[in-house]
Amino acid sequence: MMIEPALTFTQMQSRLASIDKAALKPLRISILRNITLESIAIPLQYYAAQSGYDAQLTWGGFDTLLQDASNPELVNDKTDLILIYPHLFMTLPAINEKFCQLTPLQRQQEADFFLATALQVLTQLATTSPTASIIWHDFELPINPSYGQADTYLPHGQSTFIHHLNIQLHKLLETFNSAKYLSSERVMRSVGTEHFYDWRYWFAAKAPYSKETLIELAKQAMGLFHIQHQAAKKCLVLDCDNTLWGGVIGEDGLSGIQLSPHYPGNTFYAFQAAIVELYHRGVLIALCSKNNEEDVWQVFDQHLHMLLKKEHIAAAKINWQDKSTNLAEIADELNIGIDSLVFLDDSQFEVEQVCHQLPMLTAVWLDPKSRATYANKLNASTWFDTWRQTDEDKLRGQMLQTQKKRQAFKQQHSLSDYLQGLNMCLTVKEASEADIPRVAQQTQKTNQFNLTTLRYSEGQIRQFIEREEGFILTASLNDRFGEMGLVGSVLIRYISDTKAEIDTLLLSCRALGRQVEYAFLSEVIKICRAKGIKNITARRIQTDKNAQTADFYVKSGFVLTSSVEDPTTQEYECPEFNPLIAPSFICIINEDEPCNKN
Amino acid sequence: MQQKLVDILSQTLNVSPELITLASDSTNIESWDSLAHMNLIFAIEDSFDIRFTDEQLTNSMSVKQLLEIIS
Repeated sequence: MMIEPALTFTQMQSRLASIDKAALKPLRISILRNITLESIAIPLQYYAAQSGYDAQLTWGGFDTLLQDASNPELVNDKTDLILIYPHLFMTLPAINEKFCQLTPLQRQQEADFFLATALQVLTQLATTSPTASIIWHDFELPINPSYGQADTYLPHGQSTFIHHLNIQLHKLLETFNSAKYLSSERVMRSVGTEHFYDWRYWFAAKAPYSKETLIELAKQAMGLFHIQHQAAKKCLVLDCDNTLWGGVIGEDGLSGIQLSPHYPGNTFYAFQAAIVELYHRGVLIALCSKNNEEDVWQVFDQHLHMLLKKEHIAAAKINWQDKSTNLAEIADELNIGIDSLVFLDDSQFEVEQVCHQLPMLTAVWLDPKSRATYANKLNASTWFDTWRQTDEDKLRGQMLQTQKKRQAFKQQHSLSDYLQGLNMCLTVKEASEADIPRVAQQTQKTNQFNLTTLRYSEGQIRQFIEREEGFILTASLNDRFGEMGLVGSVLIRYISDTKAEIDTLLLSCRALGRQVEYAFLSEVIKICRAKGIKNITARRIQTDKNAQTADFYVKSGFVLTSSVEDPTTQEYECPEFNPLIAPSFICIINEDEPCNKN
Repeated sequence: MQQKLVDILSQTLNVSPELITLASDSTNIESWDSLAHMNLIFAIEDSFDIRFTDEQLTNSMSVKQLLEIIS
């Protein structure tokens, strides 16, 4: 997949006309507003299609925010996304037009009135549309504020007032888990104040925004939604020569390559700094370079200004093989999908080649004529963005190092000696509030050992627990090499008091190949029984990636109940006396029971 | 020049190009309402690299008027 350059409004319109909507997933968006905003439909549908969605828009009335929030025809439990655009011009006209005439008390009353309404709208939406993501566009700071040029500097100026109001709005939104604000400041910065409004349409039709602003608004709204709902990339794969440093190590030698805190080497230095930052965000870093391996490692070991160190590198393919083979091997070695990789290379030929052979890969060409933009390009990318950083993210790079020790241990022993010798301990417990981000993240990111691959947002998980629709169990693993963190989640959905379905069962790839899944499921069954659930059913939904789960339930003693007609979904039932027992080499701790090693 | 305008009209108003004639205007093309008109202006401004004046904005709901503006 190559990244598409920015399009104009008209280009988006013609692009949309040629899109096969049947291939897209429907995305129901409701828009509440007090301005004319209908033209946003085109960029919104365009950016939605870019992320694989067919945006279906429902429009709220003009300036009927509160009524709309309680109108089930407009917002309901099928709504995926609610966009809210209360514009300052319409919402607080007094603040907009006669700020200088208002006393401080009157100004405060205006702000309080707005925040009270916002609270009402959000509270209402939490009941009418509990699972939708909410994106609320905050107030734009005035381009020409009430007290003119000096306004920004005045403690009681209009700019400061609106800025503080926005901060209060942001705080309010934070208390609603599925709500986020869309920063008008980011939008305005990107479009530029000159082109932000189209005053002709403001006066003619109460439509304040220029088409450039509409495009940016749609882009950022879909960007926010994307972070929440789609799996982030996991690994950054880098070429070496003319990517990590200037020049070719095999020809220019250690002292000849460009890499230093000074120009021109500082463009690469800055690029490496950005890469190391990503490492600390939990992104895996890999190398894929046509080179002599010892030459590259010599740079890592001996170059004074290498910010990127050997210990940051999760996998390296430095050889003369073609890059698509190497990239596939990197994905394999790291146990992630090829679509979780982002590959950067200065050779357009290589990028086109790998795109052709691995269409699911994100490959980006770094134009060697504009090296000064490399670091910025990486910093501006959204590939690795996640809503929240979990502890697992921060430690991922480090955990990979221990993973390598495990790998070495595995190679020195037979499989059964390895499993015995790991001294694994699996802690199973009901998910607490603190686990919600990680559980949601797991449902979004886990592809291989995931029985149903149902993706859930944090809001959905929280609601599931709060409404007692069922319960969630998590599994954390440690072994002789240390903690592996939270590796598995199970979501059990009640059907009746004595009947429940395993809605989701998943395990991180780093815990695979150790029979942990059987230990986890046996404990899950035990806990279900203890809760009085006699009848446990399960489902497996086939995807391109979860082939290894094909016979998991059968191997675990479950009985197939669905007919074989539909090969993509199978249904199972757990017999009353399931012979499944946890492997003897895994000790299971259920909350605070002591660990009895076998 | 005219073909480009017909293409934009057809795509924005979602009508087949054969139905667009010199006599077409907002009274005989049902989908040509004030909201569609906004998208139309956006598209024409993009494609012809022009900017409608305030007056042109309201006096452009027919093919004839549009042709005058873009020529």
